[in-house]
Amino acid sequence: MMAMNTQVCTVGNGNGHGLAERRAQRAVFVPRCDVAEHENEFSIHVELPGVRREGLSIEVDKGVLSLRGEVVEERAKRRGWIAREYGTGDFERRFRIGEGIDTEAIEAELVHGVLILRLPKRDSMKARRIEVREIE
Amino acid sequence: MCRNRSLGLVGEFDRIADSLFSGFFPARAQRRPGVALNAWEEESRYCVEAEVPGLALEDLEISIEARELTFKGERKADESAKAHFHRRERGSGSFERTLRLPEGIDAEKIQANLEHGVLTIELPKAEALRPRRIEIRSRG
Repeated sequence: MMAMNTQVCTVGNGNGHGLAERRAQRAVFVPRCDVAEHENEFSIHVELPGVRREGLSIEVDKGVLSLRGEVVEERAKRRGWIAREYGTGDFERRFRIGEGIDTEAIEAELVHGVLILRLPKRDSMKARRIEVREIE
Repeated sequence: MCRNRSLGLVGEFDRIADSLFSGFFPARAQRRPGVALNAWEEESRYCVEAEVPGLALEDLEISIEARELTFKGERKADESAKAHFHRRERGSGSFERTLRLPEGIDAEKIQANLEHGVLTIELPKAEALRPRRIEIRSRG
């Protein structure tokens, strides 16, 4: 269940960077993320090392934002390992998005292997300053 | 268990690293957290790779001295003071890792590339170590 004031929640799979599953020859990982709330928007930072723009898909459907990042083929099929301290594969993660988010206005940007999503709040959710009139 | 999430750094890492690289890239005792590495061998080179999402070139430093390759990095916490975090899995901070290079590396030609949050260091083998095709001449 989503708390009233939490408009962005992760779905399933707990914390980031575990192996979620293995499909055919490729592993799928849950990427690490930060979810932060700002005055007028929420932001999600997702670590997607090795994912290029063309390998990334983001979709919002029925209040769930799903993202999938595919690493380049070359990294997924490497051989001749001397040391393997982390797995290489695709990334997938889903977030539940509340009514207070203006889904039409979501923006995404990929910078140095980090996806930055900005989810603006609807006006009804924004903090409002109440003006106090002084009556003389 | 101490687990430092920044950059996939794992607090208990040093021990694991030593055993993984033993005999090949023995790691020196680490003072700071390391970073997870993958390494593989190709015909003409070795490659070492690390995932460093969020780091730009200026956040990384790579140096070689006496057959030891050191790389350092730092991710500054990118928090605006007013943000309230609902979830925080990524970390910040600095790391350092030193690898002892195997024999037969052409140190002059080592190259590092940073692309989409993945750092790859290419260590070309010296000519003498590369597989060589022997040509067969026929007489007659």
